[in-house]
Amino acid sequence: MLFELMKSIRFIFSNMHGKKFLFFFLLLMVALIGLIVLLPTILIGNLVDHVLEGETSITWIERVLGIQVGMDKAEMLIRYVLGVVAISLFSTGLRYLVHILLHRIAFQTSGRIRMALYEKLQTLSADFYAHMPSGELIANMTSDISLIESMICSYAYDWVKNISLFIFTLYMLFYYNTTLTLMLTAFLPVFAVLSFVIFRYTRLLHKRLRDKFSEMNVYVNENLGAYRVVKAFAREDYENQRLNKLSTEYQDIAIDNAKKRLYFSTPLHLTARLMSIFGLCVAAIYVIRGEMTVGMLTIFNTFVFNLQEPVRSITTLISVTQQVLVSANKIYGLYTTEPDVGNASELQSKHGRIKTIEFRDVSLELDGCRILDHINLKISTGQTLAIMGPTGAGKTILISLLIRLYDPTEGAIYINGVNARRIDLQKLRREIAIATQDVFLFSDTIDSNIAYSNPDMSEEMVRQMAETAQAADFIEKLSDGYDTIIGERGIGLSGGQRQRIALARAVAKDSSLIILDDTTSAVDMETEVSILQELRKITNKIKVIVAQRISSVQDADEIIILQNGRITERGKHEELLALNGYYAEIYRIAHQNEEVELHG
Amino acid sequence: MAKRNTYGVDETLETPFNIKNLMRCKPYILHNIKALIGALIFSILATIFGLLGPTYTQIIIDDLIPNQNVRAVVMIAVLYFITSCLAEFCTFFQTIMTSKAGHRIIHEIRVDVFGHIQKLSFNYFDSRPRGKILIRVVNYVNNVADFLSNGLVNTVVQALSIIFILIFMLMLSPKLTLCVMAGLPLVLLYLVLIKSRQRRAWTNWSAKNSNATAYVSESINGMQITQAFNREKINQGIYQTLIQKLNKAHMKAVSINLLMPVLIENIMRFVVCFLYLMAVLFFTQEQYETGVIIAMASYANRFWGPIQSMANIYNSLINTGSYLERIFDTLDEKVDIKDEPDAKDLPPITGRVDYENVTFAYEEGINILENLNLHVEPGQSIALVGPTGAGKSTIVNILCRFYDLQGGRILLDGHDIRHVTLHSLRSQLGIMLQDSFIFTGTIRDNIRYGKLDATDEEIITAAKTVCAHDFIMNTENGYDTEVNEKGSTLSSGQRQLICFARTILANPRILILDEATSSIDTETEKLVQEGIANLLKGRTSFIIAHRLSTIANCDQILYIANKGIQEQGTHEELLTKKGLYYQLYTAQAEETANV
Repeated sequence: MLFELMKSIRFIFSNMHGKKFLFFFLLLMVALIGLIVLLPTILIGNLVDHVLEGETSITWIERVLGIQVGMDKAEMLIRYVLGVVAISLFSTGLRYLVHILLHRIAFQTSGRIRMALYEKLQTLSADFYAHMPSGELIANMTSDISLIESMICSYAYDWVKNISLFIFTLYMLFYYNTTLTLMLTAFLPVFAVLSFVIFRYTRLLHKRLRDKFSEMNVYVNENLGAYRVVKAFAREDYENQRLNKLSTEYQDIAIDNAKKRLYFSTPLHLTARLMSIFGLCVAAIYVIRGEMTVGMLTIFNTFVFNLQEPVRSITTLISVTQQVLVSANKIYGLYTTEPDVGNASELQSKHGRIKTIEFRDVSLELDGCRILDHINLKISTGQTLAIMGPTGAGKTILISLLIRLYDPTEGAIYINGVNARRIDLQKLRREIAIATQDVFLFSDTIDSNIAYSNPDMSEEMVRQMAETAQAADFIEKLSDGYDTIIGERGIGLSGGQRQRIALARAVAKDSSLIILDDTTSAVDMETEVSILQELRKITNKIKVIVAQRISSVQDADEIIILQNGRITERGKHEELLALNGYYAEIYRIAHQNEEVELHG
Repeated sequence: MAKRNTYGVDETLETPFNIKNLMRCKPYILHNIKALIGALIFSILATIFGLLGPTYTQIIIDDLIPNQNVRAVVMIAVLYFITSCLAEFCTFFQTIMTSKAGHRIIHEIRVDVFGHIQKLSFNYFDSRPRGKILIRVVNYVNNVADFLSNGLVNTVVQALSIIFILIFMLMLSPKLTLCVMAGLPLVLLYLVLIKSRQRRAWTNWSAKNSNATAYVSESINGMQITQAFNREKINQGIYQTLIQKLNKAHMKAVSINLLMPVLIENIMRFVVCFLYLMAVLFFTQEQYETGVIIAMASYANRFWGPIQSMANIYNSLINTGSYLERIFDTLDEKVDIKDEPDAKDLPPITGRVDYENVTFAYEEGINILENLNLHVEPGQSIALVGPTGAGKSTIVNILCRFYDLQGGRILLDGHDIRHVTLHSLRSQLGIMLQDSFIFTGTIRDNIRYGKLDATDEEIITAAKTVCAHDFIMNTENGYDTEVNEKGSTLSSGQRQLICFARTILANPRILILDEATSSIDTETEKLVQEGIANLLKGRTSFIIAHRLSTIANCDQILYIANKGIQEQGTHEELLTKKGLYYQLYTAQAEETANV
């Protein structure tokens, strides 16, 4: 655990990037400021002694202020006052500066961590996202990072302030009375042990609170995504109950944590109080025995009680620091997640248009299930590959392999004769355009959505692509046309309209392979026919089409039927009909219905 | 269609925060007033016990040491420790009570905000990114806990100590008290000058925070598209800009907040200096004793200490205000589709549906439907066909009252759907939506959503009806397989089947299938149709489909285009009419026949 912790901390520091030195320097300044702020109090003490009580001994302070014995009272007073004002302005000004700089470092560091995580998220594969709820990732990117920010800009500051105050006070105690102070140090191991216990124990407390927080965040995030279903089933009350339950649990854990923390911190605080009182008591006995003066006792007493303040603050700090460390650990965990699809160490430098794609004996297992089984395929430029098959046969997964959302567990995919694993992921994907079954549109204008692959795309081009996808007509009817902002799930548009925007987005990408994964399922047949006609005009690309309808696939150069992850039939339309298998059956169902109804 | 908000646009608030808004926290505070007052009492007790300490020291120094009474010293020390224990226990209870109050308050706020959001209509969700709503319900609510518990108790405690010290000072010397208080106008002046700027800075920060969160949330949800389209670099650039804006706004807000302690600390020092100057140089006639001046100076520190704390509380008030304004903004969001005040429960219906002169528009002025009339007898099956975007989904969505009409009315068994409770209406309608939403949980839980008290047998029957049983049994743990929102372990078709089973399980009086089988292969689709045939008997149903083969047997087929019903009748009637439906049908038939 400690090892993991060190790594998380090192990760945070590595993102401080050139500001590490400044950070530690500032923390040193914090200790220094702690001493400077004591000066005005001392100055006012001297002021009272010299101006009001007529004290004549001169210390370094008076020398610095140019105060001499027998000076006019008023002038003396004004000099002291100017001294206080100057030091006060200086020390607070300095502290302000330190605070500002610490915040700047904190924000810069958190900004870097955010970017590092964001970049990491972009490299993670579909499999990672299938198992990691978005709500949890959002929590990592928001509240976890905020905690790290607070650690750098304020908790670190408080740590140094309190530790230096503790050490300074202890030093002063030693300075005034060594033997007595040595007696008091007997309490230090007790502090150390209790602090350590708090350190270990609060970790568990924060962890379970953080986990509950995740659960709630994930739940709310999902609820907000599911609002249509919630309303369709009139399940608002049920959802309220679920939130109520989670929120109550969160509340109970938070309150319980507060209690449990007190069970540990109260003994610590009592020990601190006991130490101070013990010090006072022993000092009083010393005085009675004549081994100490009353004046000394007063000073000693002040310092002994001053020790309590840092001890109290430190127990709180230990707890919040653990909270930060729990979050830091989560963030570090995300940062070190290895993408299961990544670039191999040796990359083929050759790249360019995809001319041929070959699946050689490709198999894929996910979660222990065999999804694809010994797939062999070959297609080249200008050809169309069509994939059909029953629901859940692995059609979408098969094409996910092409854009390397997954890598095959056995066999390999060769692109232009090179193993796909050895091609730079970015360069490979640059050559591929895909329109997925599940349409995800970004909350941006229609124009930006279509031009997603290239934000510099001309308006003319966007329009042309929308026409290819048969989307131009309805887009132009919207009040803001191409500048209409659409929502995350493209809501407000019908399913068919969304699919057509996604299709336009795919054809707009300058690629050498275009994949259409059942992209026209929600489009009416007439429009689909027009879309297919438009797509036929594209001859300089490899086309891979997944579809349910015979009409979408009949012209393909090769049609494969995927059943339970295996290719069971393959060939051209006529060949497949002749096989009298699955394809012929689908054809019959479609055809028969039409026949029956037309003449029925 | 309402104007949409994106990550690039700050949300404008209906009611910007002002102190009066704080009054809206009153009910939450009142619900927890016992804990808060308890905390306050314990806090005061702890302070009093704490104040006893110097007295004990005083006794030791003044009485016991001169008398050389070691035994008494030890006794006093023991007494002192007992008092300390009492103080510590008071702090213990104070902390527990504040923490209880704080967390209960935010729990209540969260439940209210969440509950309110559940009432909002599609328009609300359609018009803003999900991340912006999420951050309000979870993060923002969490952040107000400390202020609404600790902050409040502290304010009272500090105010009390200020009053006490003021009384002590006035008793000692009114003139010198004025000197100590001379710094107050400066603080007030500062507050007046900085107030609006500070508030703006924090409001701006929270807007930027929303934007960044919205962008991250959307990036995560759309990551596969981003990866497939090589947008990583560009998106990093956008996120970087958002983060820079966020940090800049945060820095600005923080630098204003940090000014406050600097100001107060300086004033505190200046006031003490001022006190000495006045006492020594100007109030020469009064001839103040040294002791009085020293006492006054120490009171000055004790007077300004609580003011320092109050100033910090003020800072957190402004900060908390930027959260509260967004929380209340959500609570103020008008519920545009809600039960009418005298709404009654819709009695169990037979399934007669009447659309009377229905006019509907998402966007003002752009009507999707105009003067639509439709009569459906109980048990009839109605098919809606026509080009995409013509309004087929709209017709069924307004039946569920997801949106309200611009004109006309819809009757169910003669009841205007606007005059019945939403819950009683929607629970009798079963709509299968176009997007198949899968919840985190098991497949069983997902189907059960349609009927929360369904038995396992009912769930299995529903799954069998839509041919989902076989593939479910083939998954790792059958019905107990864990799936989630992105659920990419399930194919689109499988997700659709699970959602279908969910709708079937609800056993609604009216079944609405909005492209329920679009992602399912032809063969399975045929089986599903056979499966639900029994279910549709005697039940009113609306079916939207593109494959005409699936709807030919419906009682009425409606061809939807041009803001209304263009053709209406049975399959045969429409074919003999040789109109739009005929064209559509022959086109499809040809398409298939050509093969």
